[in-house]
Amino acid sequence: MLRIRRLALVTLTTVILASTNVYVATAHQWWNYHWDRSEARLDLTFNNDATSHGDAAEAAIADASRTLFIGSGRSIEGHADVALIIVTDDKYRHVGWLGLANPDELAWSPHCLLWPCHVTHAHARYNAAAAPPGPRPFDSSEIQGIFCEEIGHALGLDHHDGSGDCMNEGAYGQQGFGEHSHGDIARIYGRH
Amino acid sequence: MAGGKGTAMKYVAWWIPGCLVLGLLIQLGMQVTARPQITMQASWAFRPGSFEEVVRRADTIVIATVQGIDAGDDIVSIAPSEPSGEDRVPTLLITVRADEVVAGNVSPSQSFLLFQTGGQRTPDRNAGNNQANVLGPYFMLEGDPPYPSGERHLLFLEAGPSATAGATLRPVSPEGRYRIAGDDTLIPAIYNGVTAQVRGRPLSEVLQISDQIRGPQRPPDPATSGGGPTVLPERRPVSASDSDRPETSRSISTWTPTPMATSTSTPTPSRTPTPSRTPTPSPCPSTFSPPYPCTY
Repeated sequence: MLRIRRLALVTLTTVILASTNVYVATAHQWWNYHWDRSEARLDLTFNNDATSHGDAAEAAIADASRTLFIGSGRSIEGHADVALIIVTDDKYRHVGWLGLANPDELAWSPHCLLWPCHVTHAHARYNAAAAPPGPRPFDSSEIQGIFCEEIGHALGLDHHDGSGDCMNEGAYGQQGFGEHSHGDIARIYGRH
Repeated sequence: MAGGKGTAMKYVAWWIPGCLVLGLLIQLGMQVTARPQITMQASWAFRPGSFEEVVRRADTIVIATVQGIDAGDDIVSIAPSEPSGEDRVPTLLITVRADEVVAGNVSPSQSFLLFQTGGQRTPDRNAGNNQANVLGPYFMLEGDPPYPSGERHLLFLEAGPSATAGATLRPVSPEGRYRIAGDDTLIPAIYNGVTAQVRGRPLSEVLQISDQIRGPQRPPDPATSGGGPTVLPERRPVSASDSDRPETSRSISTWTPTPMATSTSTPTPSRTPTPSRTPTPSPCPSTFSPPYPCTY
């Protein structure tokens, strides 16, 4: 009997430790970070730093705010922010990307060792200098789509195959967030 | 004696949890001391729908060995809301040596620069109380992992941006770079439907497929290839122990680019003949279909 209890204890300890190891090993990846969702509101604002195509950036911000509100059920206000930035210098024409997003600052505290930290600042960029994949320059709605996708990444969303959605991995051209992304937002930021 | 053995056996069961505790402590220690790594996500300008599109897009196709990594010029944009008034994205310049040239405006044994978005950001921002700025995060682009020194890659390249150190090339997209494993099979940088077409296949087979897709060799278009990369002086590969993560500051201190000769000659597609890869029709791979010149 004692042997069985000891075996059960060892097994349980092994499982817990193995899970913790895996969790800690992956905790410092972006997909485990998120914006502060502990309050009734989401601590998040958008800064339109786009020195050109500002209308497309503004439209993307409006769509993202609407999506966040619908998906999370929380009001959105605070000091943490996503900056929308335009890369315009022609010397960056051949960098290979049209859009680029990253969390830029994290709220650091000891608990970050064991579970995700909060993102407090992120960047969502559109590279206006890069040649678009098609034969003509992007129009305003397509630029909005790039901003939408990068904002989505800045919120922690990944690509998917949902149609009518800027996070769709297939092709450019979708202006805003669709049902799939609404669901992802609800899962990450909704009240549970 | 038997009692001692029994006692030892009794504790054997705790060795596994003991090792896991040790692993956890090591991980926590590393997280405290290591630089944080931040994954960036990109919308690539070129999104291939198939491996064929990757091959057709590439101006230069080479088998290359990574020789070293240096910090490149930051990508700088105006950002009024940032404390510094600008946004900076770090970049890396990867020195590679062409072991074999399948197509393009480089020569066998020539060293040239690859452009990569990512790397160590200089902690030059004013904002203070967060881990990222204190330690200086390492930015890595999803689908475009670091190039460890000494690794061999099959690369499908096009013109990259001009850096201070010279002209560069870069993979057409994440689907354009494949690490060559010890058994000469290909390991893609990103796993998706495009790279699944060649993932795990022998290098020789993929090169044959590439030949079939490209058909008769054509000279690269100078308008898109930018006249080829800057030729670099010979560089000694860094030892394998240096390859865990690019140490840009180390690389800079040990290697200073000397004046280079920019390749301005007429682009002529070159290729080192390899006896094992004769361009004769071969059985078609299962994931490819005509009109490639292969036999079913």
